[in-house]
Amino acid sequence: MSVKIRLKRTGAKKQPSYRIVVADSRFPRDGRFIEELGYYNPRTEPSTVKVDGEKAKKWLANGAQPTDTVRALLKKSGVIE
Amino acid sequence: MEASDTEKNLSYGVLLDIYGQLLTERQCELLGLYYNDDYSLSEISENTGISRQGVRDAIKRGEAELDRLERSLGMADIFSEAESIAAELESTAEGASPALRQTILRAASRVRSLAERQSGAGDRDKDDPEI
Repeated sequence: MSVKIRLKRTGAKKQPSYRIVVADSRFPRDGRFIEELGYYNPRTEPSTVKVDGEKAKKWLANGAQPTDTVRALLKKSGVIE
Repeated sequence: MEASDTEKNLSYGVLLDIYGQLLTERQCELLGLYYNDDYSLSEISENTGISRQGVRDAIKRGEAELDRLERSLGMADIFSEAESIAAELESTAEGASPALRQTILRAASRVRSLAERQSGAGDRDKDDPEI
């Protein structure tokens, strides 16, 4: 069992936007996640990323692994280099 | 798509909205976990009991099927073109006189609803209840 930082899709059909969340690597039965760190909207030009840098750093320091997609977003928003 | 790619191609999420029901239930579910919930191939494998290679093959096949459907039906293309026409109309309406403005906005909303109908309207079945 490990803790991950991943995207979770929200938004209507054909109009995806995503939350950046801290979640377990196992599938949650109730769809819940541990904490929300921000959101990512790829449909704006340029795409919008908003992330709570403090919280994200805290989770990273505690060993939470970002997915490749989230890692790219964190880099883009300057939370990690 | 390899898990090592820095960004999954999120547009498969949209193709899945449109054509998901034409895939097998399992394929649809695996693609959803991969693209909408951002699980890795190994995580999906661990949680479902399917081998990692099996998960990868199923997702690859699903992607190929989504691409094939889009090539022959082109609904995602129609939808995004209609969206951009509607947005263009709305921005034109900004500078128009009140009467004209109303007409333009009505046209924009008709284009939008046409696009919805064209590419399978309705809510996503796995929509987040909190939003």
